[in-house]
Parts: sequence; structure tokens; C-alpha cells
Amino acid sequence: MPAKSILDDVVQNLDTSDEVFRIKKIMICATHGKWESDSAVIANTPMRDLVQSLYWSTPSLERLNSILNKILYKINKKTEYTVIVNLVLSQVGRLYLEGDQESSTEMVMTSYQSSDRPHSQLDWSVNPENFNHNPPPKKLDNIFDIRFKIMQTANPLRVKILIFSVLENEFTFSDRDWLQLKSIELDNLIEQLFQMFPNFEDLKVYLKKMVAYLEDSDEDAQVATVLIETMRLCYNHQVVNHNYFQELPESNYSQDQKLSDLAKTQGIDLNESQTIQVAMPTNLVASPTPEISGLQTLPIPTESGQALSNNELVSESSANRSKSNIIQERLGLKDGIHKRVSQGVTEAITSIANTLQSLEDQLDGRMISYEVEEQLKFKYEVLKDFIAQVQEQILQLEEIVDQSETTERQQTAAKSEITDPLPPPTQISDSGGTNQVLELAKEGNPKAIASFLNHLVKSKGIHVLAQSKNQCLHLILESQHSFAPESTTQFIHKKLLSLQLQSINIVKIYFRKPGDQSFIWAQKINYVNHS
Amino acid sequence: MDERTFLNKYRSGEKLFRGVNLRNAELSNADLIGANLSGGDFQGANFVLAYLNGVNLTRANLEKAKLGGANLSRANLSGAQLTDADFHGTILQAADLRKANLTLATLVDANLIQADLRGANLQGADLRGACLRGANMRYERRIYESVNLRGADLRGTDLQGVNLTGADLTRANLMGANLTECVLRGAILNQTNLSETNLQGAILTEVNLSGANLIGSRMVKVKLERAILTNAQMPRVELCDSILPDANLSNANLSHANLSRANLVRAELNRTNLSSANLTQADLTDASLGRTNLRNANLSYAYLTRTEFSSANTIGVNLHGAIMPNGEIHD
Repeated sequence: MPAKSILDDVVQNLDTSDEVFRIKKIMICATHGKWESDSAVIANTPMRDLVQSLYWSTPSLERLNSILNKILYKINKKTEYTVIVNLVLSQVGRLYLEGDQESSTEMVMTSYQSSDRPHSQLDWSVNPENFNHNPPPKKLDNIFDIRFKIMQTANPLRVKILIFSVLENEFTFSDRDWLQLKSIELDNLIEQLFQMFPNFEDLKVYLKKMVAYLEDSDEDAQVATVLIETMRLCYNHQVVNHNYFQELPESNYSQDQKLSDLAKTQGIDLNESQTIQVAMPTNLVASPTPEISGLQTLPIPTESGQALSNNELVSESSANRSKSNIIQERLGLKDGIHKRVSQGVTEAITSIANTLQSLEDQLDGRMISYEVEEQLKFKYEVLKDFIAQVQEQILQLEEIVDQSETTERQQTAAKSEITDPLPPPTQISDSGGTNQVLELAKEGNPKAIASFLNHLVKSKGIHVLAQSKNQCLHLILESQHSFAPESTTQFIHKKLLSLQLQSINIVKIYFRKPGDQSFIWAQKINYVNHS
Repeated sequence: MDERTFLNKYRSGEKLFRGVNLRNAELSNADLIGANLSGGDFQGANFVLAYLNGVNLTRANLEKAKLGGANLSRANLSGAQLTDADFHGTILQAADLRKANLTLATLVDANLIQADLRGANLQGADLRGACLRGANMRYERRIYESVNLRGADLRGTDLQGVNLTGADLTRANLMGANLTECVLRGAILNQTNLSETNLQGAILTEVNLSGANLIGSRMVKVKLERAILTNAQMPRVELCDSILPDANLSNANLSHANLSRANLVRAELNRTNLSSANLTQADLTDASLGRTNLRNANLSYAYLTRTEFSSANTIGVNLHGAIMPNGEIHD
């Protein structure tokens, strides 16, 4: 007896389903691009033709999944049709698997199943169910740019391993995993990841958890940060293209839904970019390299006067809008700031951890000739000292924030008494009157000056060393990034003027990369005290 | 020398390891930044996720070596033997790969940004998803032969703006590749799969595309002067504003293609399938159209000066506003 062909089986299974009408409807839409409402037409279209034309018009199961989900995204009665789509996928999908057992189609299947599979080792706060609620299948038309961006800033293999671990299972470096990883290209993985997480925030949370869980955390943390930053592009890009909803034929997608969906998927992003935008002008110098400004965490405490005026900015710009809009915006802003803070904390901690790691590596490298016992003793002394110093610096920061709060409150109180607006405090000297470090700095103590400057430029990734001799102050600026001599010098000069140093006539500023002996540039300025 | 002695020597400050023999060595995750390993023998060695930034590997033997995820940025690999080597997700940014032998090498998702690949042999290499933006693959007479990419797998490869003048891409698979603004002057693309590629703004002057598969590719504003496109599969291809004077399109399939405002002066269109093609405002001056299939084609406002198409199939053709061979404007 000849075995029944898979096609016959698929057609029969679909035809005998209770939902045959809806199945046909969605398949007609997939093959003819039209939402058929004439029941006679639907009834007269043979299932076999539909299955065949759907199979031949879509090159891969992945594509089929994407097409069906796109339809699903546009129509009403999502719950009912989700069942239908899954049925069609599972049935018609068999045709793809039949032809090509070993190929990537199998991967597609497993990857979709993997979203159902609970990760038992970890408590993922993102419910895996969320991934399956039929994300809008979005084809990334800027995939080459995204990949280019990733490649420029991260190790492509590590990025692949990370995404693979999210989509499939934890990468074990076994031959099987290697082969599988080699068979899927990076852009394919990015697109799958994008489909799995319709919401950028979910992706962010999930990736961070994944990194925390993976062993090689340092490298992976960097990879994840790059990936998160680049994936943001996918989502932002989609905002621009969102208009395509309007072009839908036969779309029942209502205005309200559109808005709420937009808010759901993009709202947070918008808020975040808003915070960045308002935070930008408060930053110290127009930073020469854009990516550095992105790393800036909170507005510098002493400048919080301007940071607080964010609300003003917002309300000003939205003067014409309704009150509820303003409230919503403020809520969003708050939310955005909150997220920015947690992001900043992660970045700061990562950077400290990285420094610690590189310090350890350097020590290991330099002390190779010493006794093991001596090595260990010295190394851990240095590392502990590093941590202690960092702690101290953080405590000092806290102090400065407290100080600036009090002065600022006083000033706003004064402001409300007299109607004349006072200029906002911009310099640390206005606020940190009693601060010990500041006092020392004003007296010309080089260490205090260095720590004063470090507070101001830390966010730019610059570390300052200071020494004074014969009324000349020598400042060594160290940073991985490069900075223009003129603007940096100008900025430092301005800040030093606020200290009103009595004992200094000349300031020499040198710039180098950390670990280097030679300087990239040097500048000399005459310190003129106007007081 | 075994791996341990080698690594210890490096750590103690030695950098010069010319001609070192480390066949099948296990050096994954190793840090060898800046070492001079020129002429060394590393056949089958494992360098997975190693740090090899700026190493000198000129004329080294890395046949079948595993270099997945390794960082080889600014490394010098010129003249190296890299046959069948694995560069999966490897960073080769700004690496020197001149005249390197990369036959059958795996370069999946490799970062080859700004790499120098002049005169390299990439026959049958797997370059899926690799990024080659800013890479140099230029042919230079008497110094660097044109790059050999015969039968290479270039699916989804990013070659934006790369100069591939004279490259041999016979039977290569470029499906879904990014060839925007790519220079392929005089390249050999016989029977190449170029489906779903983006060729926008590419320079394909004098290219040989006979029998190539261009289904679903984007060819807006492409330069195809004197190109050979005989038997090419180009149905529904977007060729608007493209420049094709003196191109040979005989027997090519261009049904439903968009050739509006295309320059087809003196082009050979014998037996070409142009059914239902859009040729509005196309310039067909002096073109030869022997037995061309123009069924249902749209030739409105086209320039047909001195064009001879008496043997063409013109059923259902739209000639509204076209300048006819005799100089009259068709109504």
C-alpha cells in the first residue's frame, strides 16, 4: 500500500478542522494578499491549492512564520486567529521539514519551541509566555548597518554566542553547538532575537540576566551592552516605519489600538531619548566624541540645578498641550530617568569591575619575577586599596550632592522671596562652601585639585593627576578616548578659576592614554586670578 | 617548542618567534598581542578567542587552524597559508591579507572591515554574513592580481562600497548580499547567483553577467555600460535610471522589469523577453530589437530613434508619446 504523502495528510488535517473557514481565510490572505470576506469564494477555494501555493510562494518556514504573524498582527480577534496560525504553521511547516531535515528550517523549529521551554536554572522575570504572543514579524531593512555597528564594537563570535544562548540553549562549546552556530549567520540571529522580543525593554532585561548567568561575564557584559545599544536601533528604526499600518488594505486595526501599541513598544524608548536630550545641555563640555556622551550617567551633582529644571523644559515645550499630556509626559520622564539611573549604575559598576580586572592583569604581568607568596600579598593589598579609594571617592560624591542640595534649596527659597530670578548655580564653589576637599583645593593642594577635577570629568572617562611646583600646576589627564586640546584646556581653566587659587601662576596640562608614558598633547595656560 | 614554554617566553617579554613550529598547538584564549610569528608553522593550531591583535604572521602556515572569535585586528597575514582555516566570527579589521591563500577558508560573520585583501585567493571560501566595508580588493596591474572568489559563498555578505574591479566571481553565491555602490568593473559574474542583492548605485561597467540570476535584486541607478547580460534572469528587476549603453541583453529575461528612464542606447536586445516591462522614457536609440518580446510592454515617451523592431512582438505595446524611428511622435 503506498504511503499517503505528507501533502495529502496536511490537506486532510486542515480540511477536517472545525475552523476550516478561518484557516482558508488566513491562507488566502497569505497567498493573495487580500482579506477575503466573501464566504462563497472562501468555500470554493480548494484547500489543496492553498497549501501548495503557500508552500511554493514562501521559500522557508521562517518566512512563512513571518508572513502569517504579520497578518495576525494586523487583524482583530487575535486570540482566535493565533490558534489558527499555529495550526497552519504546524501543518504546512511539515512540508518544509520533509524536504530538508538537516537544514536551517529545523533550527527555526527548535528555536521557536525554545521560547516555550522553561529555563529551569534561572528565575527569568520575563515570562517566556510573553515571547510567544505573536510578535509583529518585522524584517529589518537596516540589518547591514546594524551588523556593521555590532562588528565595529564587539567580537562577532561572542555576540553570536550570547544571542544563541538566549534563543536556543546555553552555548557549551561542544562540536554540535559550534556547527549549529556556524550554520546561522549573525543577521539571522539578530532578526530572530528581534522577533522574539517585541519590546525593547524586555530584551534589555533578558540580556542582562543572561550575562549575569553566563560564566565569562566581563567580556559578555561588554558584548551585551553593545548588543543592547545596537538593538535599540532596530526598535527605533521601526518607529520611523510605523506608518505602514496606515497602508494596510482591509485593516480593522483601530486608531486606539495603534496608539496603545505604539506606546507599549516605543513609549519607553521615546521617554529615554527625551531624558538624554534634556540631560545633554547640562553636560560640561560639548564632547568631541559622540559615543562618550552616551556613557554619561547622571548629570553631575553640582549641576543638578539645571537637571532639575528638566521639568521646566518639558512644560515649556508642551505649553500648548493638554494637562493630561503633561502629566503623562512627566510620568514618562520620571520613568525614563529611573531607567537611566539604573543603566548608569550598571555602567559605573562594570567600568569599576573592568578597571579592577585590568589592574589585576597588569599586576600579574609585572610581578611575574617575584615569589608567589610575595605576588599574592602585594596584589591583594593593591586591589583592596583600590576598592577602598573608590569607596572614599563615592562617599565624597555623596557629600557634594548633599551640599549642593542644601545650597540649591536655599537659593530656590530666596528665589521665591524675591521675584528677580537668580542665575542658576553652575560652579562647585557656589555650593561647596564648607567642603573639606574644596577648601584644600582652594589652598592649592594638588591632590585636592585632582579630586575636584576628577569629579567633573569622570563621566567623560578622564582621570586627572595633579602636582604643583614653583607656582606651576601640572595636570596629567588620562583617557582611553581622545579629546581636543583647546576645548579641554579651556574647560579645565574655567573650573580652576572658580577655585581662585592663590599660589598658582601657570597651569600645564598633559594628555595621555592610561598606561602610556608619552603624552599625546600638552598645553600651557597662564592662570590669572581675577579676585 | 611546546605551548607552555612559548607562552612563558612571551610573557617574560620576548616578542620574536620567527619560524616557530607550533603545529596543532592549543592556544585558545591566549594573549599574544604584537608578537612576531612570521613564517611560523601553526597548521591545525587552536587560536579560538585568542588575542592576536597586531601580530605578524607573514608567510605563516595556518592551514586548518581554528581562529574563531580571535582578535586579529591590524595583524599582518600577508602571503600566509590560510587554506581551510576557520575564521568564524573573527575580527580581522584592518588586517593585512595581501596575497594570502584563503582557499576554502571559513569566514562566516568575520569582521573584515578595512582589511587589505589585494591579490588574495578566496576560491570556495565561506563568507556568509561577513562584513567587508572599506576592505581593499582592488586589482592593480602587475602588482596585485584580481581577487579570486570563484564559487565562494557570499550570501548576506556586506560588500558595500568595496572595489572588486576584475574580481572573478564565477559561480559564486551572492544571494542577499549588500553590493550598494560596489565597484565591479570588468568582474566575471558568469552564472553567479545575485538574487535578492542590493546593487543600488553599483558600477558594473563591462561586467560579464551572462546567465546570472538577478531575481529580486535591486538595481536602481546601476552603471552597466558594455556589460554582457546574455541569458541573465532578471524578471521584475528594478532597473530604473540605470545606464546600459552598448550592453548585450540578448536572450535575457526582463519580463515585468522596471526600465523606466533607463539608457539603452545601442543595446542589443535580440530575443530579449521584455513582456510587460516598464520602459517609459527609456532611451532605445540605435538599439537592436530582433525578435524581442515586447508584449504588453509600456514604451510611452520612450526614445526609439533609428530603432528597428519590425521583427519584435509588439502585441499590446503602449507607445503613447514615444518618439518613433521615423522621428514622429506616436499619439
